[in-house]
Amino acid sequence: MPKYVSIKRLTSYWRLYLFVAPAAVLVGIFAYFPAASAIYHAFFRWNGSYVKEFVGLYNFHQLLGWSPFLWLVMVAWVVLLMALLVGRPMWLAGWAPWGLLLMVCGLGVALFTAGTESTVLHMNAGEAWQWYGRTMWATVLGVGLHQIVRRNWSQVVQGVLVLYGFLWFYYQSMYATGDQTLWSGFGVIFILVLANLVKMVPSIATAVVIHRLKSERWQYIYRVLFVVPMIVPGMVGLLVWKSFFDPTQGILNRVLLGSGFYDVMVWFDDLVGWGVFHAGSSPSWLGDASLVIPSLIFWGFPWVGTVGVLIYLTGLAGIDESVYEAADIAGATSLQKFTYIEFPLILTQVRINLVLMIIATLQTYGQILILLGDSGGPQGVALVPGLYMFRSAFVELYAGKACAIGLIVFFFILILTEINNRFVRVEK
Amino acid sequence: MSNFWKTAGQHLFIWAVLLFAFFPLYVTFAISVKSNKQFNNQPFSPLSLSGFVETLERKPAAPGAYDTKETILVREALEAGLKPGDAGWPVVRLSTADTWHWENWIVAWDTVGTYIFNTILVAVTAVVFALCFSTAAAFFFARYRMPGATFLWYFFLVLMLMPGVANLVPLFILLRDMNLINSLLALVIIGISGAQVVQIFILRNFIEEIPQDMFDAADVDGASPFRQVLYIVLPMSGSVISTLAILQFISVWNDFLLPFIIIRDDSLLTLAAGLIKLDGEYVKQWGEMMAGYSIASLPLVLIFLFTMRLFVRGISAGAVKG
Repeated sequence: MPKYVSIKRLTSYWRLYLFVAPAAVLVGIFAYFPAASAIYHAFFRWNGSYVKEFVGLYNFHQLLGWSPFLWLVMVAWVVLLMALLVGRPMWLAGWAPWGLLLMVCGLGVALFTAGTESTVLHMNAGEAWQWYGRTMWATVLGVGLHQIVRRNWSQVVQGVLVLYGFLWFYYQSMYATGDQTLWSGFGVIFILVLANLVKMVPSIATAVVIHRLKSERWQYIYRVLFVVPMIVPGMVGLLVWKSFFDPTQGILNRVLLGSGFYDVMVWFDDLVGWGVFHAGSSPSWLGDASLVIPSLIFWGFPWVGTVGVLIYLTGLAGIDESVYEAADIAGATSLQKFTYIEFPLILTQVRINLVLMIIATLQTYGQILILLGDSGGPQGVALVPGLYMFRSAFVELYAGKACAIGLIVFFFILILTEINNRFVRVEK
Repeated sequence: MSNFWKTAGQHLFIWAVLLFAFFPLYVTFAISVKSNKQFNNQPFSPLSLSGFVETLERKPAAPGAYDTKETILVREALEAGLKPGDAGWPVVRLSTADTWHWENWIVAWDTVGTYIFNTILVAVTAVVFALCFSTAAAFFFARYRMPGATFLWYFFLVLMLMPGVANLVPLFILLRDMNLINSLLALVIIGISGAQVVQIFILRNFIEEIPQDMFDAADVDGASPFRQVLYIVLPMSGSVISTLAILQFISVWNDFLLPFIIIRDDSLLTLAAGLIKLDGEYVKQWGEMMAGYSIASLPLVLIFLFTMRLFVRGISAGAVKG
């Protein structure tokens, strides 16, 4: 058992804090301070040094869009939240009916903001007040509907409904006024996540095949062999692939043109009508706007992440030989063995990898920065949010905007983590 | 019989995957001993072994020579004020289509060598200090329940959820305000603080599994907590600590974003960021570039050869826990 030290005995034990002090101080200065600074500066027009001016939500309005309607909804929600947070405990303590409090708080805040903000909203105080009323009723109605839905439908249906409703609302009211670059960046991320999902397959397949080998010795040899490509620094892999993509001297084009496979691609292109591959010219993989994303996806073929293979192998190691024998007697095909025996056993690892992959993909930009430069490739087709943040901060010198982009990405990751904690339970 | 074909098929599948996985490595090495001319003629087929043996025929270097080694020798001779035909004018090996141009490696070493030295300096310092701090902190959490320990624990744990993406810009500004731009010290400090959370998390679990009687006995004997860490924790958690050390070493070795942003001087660049610079040159010397990549990969491969078991175990265990 760990030793309990009470406050009274601190006089003789206080030195123990020195054990944790270096780590705590370092983390405080170099992890917490920047995080706090990012949140703080997201509300500033800031170039990183001398220009610094408080602009409120301006950065977010620029990025996410702005609508008077949203402003109203926000105020109404703040009012409701206040009413709930302040009113409910008071009601429980028997002080006052919280409905009354809600009305009073709402009235006060609404009147105040209607008076001050009506010029911003381009409507007179009376109109604004009407809108507050409608928004508040809509919110109360929405919350009530949600209560009914919550009792009767599964959480997944609820999640999809809430997400869909939110997206619809966003698209209708604000999307057009937001920063299209940011949203196209999220679109690229979405494609990359889908691609990475497919890219998980080779690792799983390889791990299963290695696991099924009878010989222990070969299993060990293959495990070691699969570590070797991972030992090579990531930057070397990245730059070697970049050289592969070189339009005139790159290996990829040499192979495609030399083997005649490029003619097949041109023929197929003519058939489908993409207009990407033309006979007589070599494709410039990282220089052609329509080829950039496919190149980013193809990068790193055959996509056997060594870490992945080894993790899956550890998961598979728990299967007893007798299970296979029983399956053989029952006449299971090797596909059935996979779906009924092997896949359930590595499901935990697959889930962990899936979540980590999605979170990592959301904030990825280092590789794109190296492959395509800080402009995100031709016409900025691959300007993912992370790269957009990098570009805003270090090229355009909008550090405040960069912090705001970082916070938006952070917010998405937070939602994903929450979804993960709630729905994807990991049995230890 | 069908069993044989099945096993053969499995091996064939694995070898096919391995073939593709190793292809970039092979190409890197194959090109690293080629001159640009050879590369243009045959990009990825290996040079024949006959060229591996030194060709004895020698001739004076041509002033406009295109081969790497000749270019350098000619440049040096011109800088020394010599003309073709003079006594000191370089005589070079007559290179054929099959000659292995090992001098690419020498040229590459001139640039990459500094980067490797810097990286090793940063990585070793960061790993040593990070492990000292995290072992001490993990001992604090595993052995004692001090007032405020729970708060401190969550203080560290919350960081695991915090993605690094939003932090980068303020971190850069912070380092700039601390006058740490363009210094290796910044990389060391960030390396230390970045590794703390995961290391403390794993080491705490490990130290808690050490029988507590040993610490009690040490207490009775009057050993200070510091001596307990030194004589109980360190000897018993050697394998975990070395695994963590290797993992952190690799991550520092691979890190490029921070050095890419904060290091301005060429002589202070670390490896990954330096390689970007090597790649960005306008006229590409493919052989030298690939030789640089090969040199950059070698130290990790050497470490791997000596610590193979730790590696395989560390990656499997660390990845599942982390």
